[in-house]
This record gives sequence, structure tokens and C-alpha cells, in this order.
Amino acid sequence: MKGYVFHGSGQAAWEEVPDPGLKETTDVIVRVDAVTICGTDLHILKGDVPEVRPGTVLGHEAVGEVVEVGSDVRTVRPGDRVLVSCVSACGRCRYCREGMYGQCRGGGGWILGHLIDGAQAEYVRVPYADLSVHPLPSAVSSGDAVLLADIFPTAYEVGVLNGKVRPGDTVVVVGAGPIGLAAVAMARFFTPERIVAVDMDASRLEAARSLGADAVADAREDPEQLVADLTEGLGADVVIEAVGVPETFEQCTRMVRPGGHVANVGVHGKPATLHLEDLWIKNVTITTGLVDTHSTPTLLRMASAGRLPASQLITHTFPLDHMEEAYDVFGNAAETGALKIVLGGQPHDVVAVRTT
Amino acid sequence: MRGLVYHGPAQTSWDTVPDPAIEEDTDAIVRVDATTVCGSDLHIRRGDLPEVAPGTILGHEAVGEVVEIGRGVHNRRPGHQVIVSSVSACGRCPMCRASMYGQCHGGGGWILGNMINGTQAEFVRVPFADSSTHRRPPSLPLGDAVLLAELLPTAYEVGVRNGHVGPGDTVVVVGAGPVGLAAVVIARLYSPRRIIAVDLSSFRLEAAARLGADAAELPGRLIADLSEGPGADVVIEAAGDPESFVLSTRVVRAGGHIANIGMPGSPATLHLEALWRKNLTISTGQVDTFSTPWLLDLVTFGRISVSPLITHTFDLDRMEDAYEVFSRGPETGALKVMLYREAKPPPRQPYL
Repeated sequence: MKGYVFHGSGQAAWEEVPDPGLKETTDVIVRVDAVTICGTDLHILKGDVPEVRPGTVLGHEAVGEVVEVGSDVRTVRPGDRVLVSCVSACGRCRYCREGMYGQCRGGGGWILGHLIDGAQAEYVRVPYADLSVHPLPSAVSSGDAVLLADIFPTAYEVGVLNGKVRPGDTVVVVGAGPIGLAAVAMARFFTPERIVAVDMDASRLEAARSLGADAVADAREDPEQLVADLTEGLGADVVIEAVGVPETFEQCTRMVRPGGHVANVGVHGKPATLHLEDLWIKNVTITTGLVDTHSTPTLLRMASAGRLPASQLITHTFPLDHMEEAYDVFGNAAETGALKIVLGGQPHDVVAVRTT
Repeated sequence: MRGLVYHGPAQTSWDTVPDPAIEEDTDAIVRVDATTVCGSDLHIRRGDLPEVAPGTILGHEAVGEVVEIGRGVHNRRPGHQVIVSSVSACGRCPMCRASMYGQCHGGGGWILGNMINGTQAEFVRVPFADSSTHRRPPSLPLGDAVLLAELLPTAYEVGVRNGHVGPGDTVVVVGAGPVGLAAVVIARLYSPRRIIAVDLSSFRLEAAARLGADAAELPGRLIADLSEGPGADVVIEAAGDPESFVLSTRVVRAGGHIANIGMPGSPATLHLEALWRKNLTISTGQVDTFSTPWLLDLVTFGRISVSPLITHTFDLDRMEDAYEVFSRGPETGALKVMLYREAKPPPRQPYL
């Protein structure tokens, strides 16, 4: 089969690789019908994630059809259309029993396209299939569903839920990339008073508005002042960091009100400064996290009900074998306006987010 | 009267000052029968809190008798024995209504010995007396009662509660000074699997072991093993320096809690490159003292024993000696120093 193989820092190719086979009795093999590219994949390509070995097929978000199941798999059968979660879960370790699948100590966690071959291929082996794939309701298209493998649960669990968004809150989302935009859309589930999106890219701020942000701010035009003005100087109840650089994290800790929450979703490569000399007295709660995907069933129900605007985040679609071109478009988001790119899946209307 | 006056960095003295008087209807004047010195008083004396104006009487923890009340005070009257909370609360602003008295926007918060004259004196004016004092049961010794003004609520609210200590947890307390030790005592109420206290002072480690820590040691093998292995469910940071905060982020398990109680004067490094995926919850906080009535019951009914936290007693007018002893706590073994108006505190009376 064909797959997108990592060959070391800066090198990867769509090339012929052996078909995956069952290795454990809890595995399934899924034929990939739709797959996407994550910011984390770009980090891997840059060499930022050294544990990824050359030769690994990348990708951790997919939708497809089960074609083969191990003898111990009980919940899916060949022919089932499933969502492949970015997090695999043994289901038995202490973390899994607490629903913290992302921290699985039994061989799961984020392993697809990281420690084992991933989903940017024609077929993928999924370990611990009973807990790591979700049968898809027919109302959800494969293209939309693929966004539920990682970005929607990440924005929801690590952003909205960790941030404890409540009715009446002022919520600030710093970074209006795919995750930040998904956080804007899902923060609305909790009826906040207002959502403020902050980014440097006008088209992303426009997308944030269309997904439900009540105010947007250019990151270069003093968003802290805007938040202070909107909250009578108090600060935001919840600030969601969805960029992943020290400057934005530190900005989030300045925008939060006393007693508020900073939910860090961004993937960081460098330490940040925690200004405890100011924050010790502020009763703030700061959370970090890798997604657990415990919310995926809930989000699938919301998607079936038409309450998850997944398709609005999909700006580009490609056939599966245009993987390298898709990486180029996604990797140059500043020029291409790319948010999420879906490969394979049903043909999708392209939604233009660039207004210029 | 006499009071301990801050005259600028490194300058304090026990001076004759005017007696306090009622300024607002909601004020009470309390005669100070017992007071103590807090780590934050040392910070002020060093000049770390520039908002404290020279001329301010320090101190924010006291027990005493109400001697005068304003017209708007309804639940206290002269003769009441009260605990003066370190946090004053207007009781009416949105923060107070959410029980976040420490963040009061109506003129309260931590103001005693900070924005206004404090408790290290013979008398103190207490604003918003109805919501800023607590009645002291006659059976509760003065010294124990002083610990309820700030130390115990801080250890509970900002440490044990924010850290979500629960049954079966491994709890690491970094810094075994008075607040850290109080956190050890209160954490035990939640049946953790073990409590590990870490400090650099052997006196304080001994105190931690006496007060119920299952292990008490220098940062070393135990911490390294936890950091490399399972990690602690809860880390309570009660040392207040950037290095101990970084140690806390290393020793906590994925999905665990770090409750910062310390009051560092400089920023800490947050290693987000390693921590972003660790599902941590880090909390900071100044005490709100919403838990004082509950803690008062726990102490009064003997569920927690806090008297061992008091290591030294002085007459009130020996305030400067008390500062000296307290500031050298890690070397001298001093934990809480207690100052009494009467040379001998009244003996503990049986609870009736």
C-alpha cells in the first residue's frame, strides 16, 4: 500500500510500504477513507519530536472501514465505518480507568503516527480497537467526522472543559487556528456572555466571528486592553491558550481575572515564564493537557444533531494520494488560508475563509 | 498605645502610636490579646511589598476582645471574644458573594497590616467587623485561635483544597514551615496514602515527622524516585521560591495537581515543553478565609491538633524579639511565635 513515511528531520514521502497486518488479538485493520494533517505532524517533520523513528507512517486522525479484526475485538466488525481516535487506550491501566486515556500506561496513549505507524496511508493498524475506534452514525460524513479524531475533543476537553467555561463567562481564545476555532464553537455550548478571539491573521479572525466569537482582536493591537475594557478591568473568566509559544501563554496569565482559569491547549517547544510574583495572590488555575478523547461519544452525538460546525473548518480537500501537496498547503497556512485539510472522504464544498 | 511600625525596608520598631478609633460605621476596635508574626510580615520588613506605606502597623492575625463598635455593626458587641481574620470582607461585592473574600472589591481583602494599620499592637481597628471576625469559643486557647486567623485557612484552602487531596493520594509538601506543616496536619483528614514533606531544615523535617508526615527529608532520592516513577498525586508548594516550584512540577504525576501557596518574589520557569501534555492543574491563591468556621470546629472538637505549631511565646511588648526568633526559624526551629497581652495565656478550659 501507499503511506506518508517520515525519513528524519525535514524529509517525508508518499511511498510504497508493506500492508499492515494484525499483531495483537485486540487490533483491527482499517481502510482509510478520510484523513487529515495536524500541527503536530508539522512538528514531527521539523524534528521537534525526536521519539518518532525514521520509517514511521505519520498521521493520527482518520475515518475508514474496518477490514480485519483480531480475535478479541468485540465491538466492531469488518464493514463498520469507524472513527479512529488519535488516542489508543488499553482500557485497563489506572489512567484508562479514570478516563485519562491520553496518559495510558498499558501501551496506548498517543501512539499512532508517533510510536507506531499512523493513519496517513491506505490502511492502518489500530491497537486496542474496542476502546480506540468509534462506530460512526450515518448522519456524520467521513470528512466532518475526521475532525472528531483529535481537534474537536482536544479543543473541548483541554480547552473548554479544563477551562470550566460557565454560562455568563467572558471567554478569551488566544490563537484562532483550527483548535482555537473549534474551542470558540464549543465554548458556545455553555452560553458564555461573550467569546473574544485573538489572532494575527484577519481571515482567521473572520472565521472566528462566523463560528460564534462576539469580539475579535488583532494580537498586535493590545488585546489585553480590549479584554480589560470588556470586563471592567477584571479580566476574563476563562482564557484558552491555543498557540503554544511562551509569549501567548504569558499574555493569557495577564488576561485572566482573579479566580479565573487558564487552559493551555498549545503544544509548546520552550519553557514559559510563570509570573508567580503577580499570580500567587490571584487565585488562578492553570491547566495543561493532552487530549484523552473521553468526550468523543458526546461530540459524535452533537455532530449527528448538526450542532458541531466541523465542515466550516475544512478549507481544502484532496485525494488521498495528494498527501505531499496537502502538506505544502497546510504548512503554508499563512498564504493559503488553510485551516483543516481533509484527504479522501466524500467530495466536500470548499469553504472560502479568505475574504480578500 | 504601642504597636510595631514599619518605617521602610529593614526598619521596624515598637513605637507609641495614637489609639485607633472607629472610622466607618462597620468598624470595630479590638483589644489584642494574642497575635503572631507571618512570613509575609518578613517580606514587608525586607521591602518586598512596596505598597506598604512607611508608618503602617504590621500584622494581620489576632485574637482579642471587642471594645468598641460602629453603628453599622450588628453581630458583635463590646466584650465579645473574637478571632480577627487576616482577610477583611465587605460581604457585598461580587467577589465576596462568591466567597472569594481575599479578592474583595469593596475595600476589603488582605488590608490589615498592609493597606491599613494591623494587629501587632495593643488595639486594632477592624473594618467590616461583622464579616471579618469570628466568635472564639471559650474553650479554644488563644494561641490556637490565632492560627485560625490565617495559617489554617491558607493551608486548607490554597493547599489541601486547591490541590484536591483525596483518599489514597501521595501528597508531597514542599517547604515544612508553618504553612506547609499545617497542610500536613489538614491533609491527613483526607486519608492520603502517604504524605512526604521536603525541606532543607532538619528542625522542620523533625517537626513534619512529629506532625504526621510519613516521610520527611531533604529533596533527594525519594523525590527523584517519584519524579522518574509514578509521581505524586498532589504537590503543595509552601516554600515560595522559583526553584521549589520547578521541583514541584517535576515530582507531580500526569493528571496531578500543584497547589501553590508560596509567595515568591520572582518568576518561575514553567517547562511547558514537557508539561503541556501532562494534564496538570496548577493553582495559585491568596486565602479567602471562607473555611475559618469549619476549621474552628475541627480544632475545637479536637479533630486536628495545631498547638505543636506554636514553638515560642512572648509578651506583646517583646515584638522585636519575636521577629528576630521567627525570621531565623529554619535554624532555630521556630515555627509560629505567639505574643500575648498577658504574660501567661489562660489555661485551656474544658469544652462545655
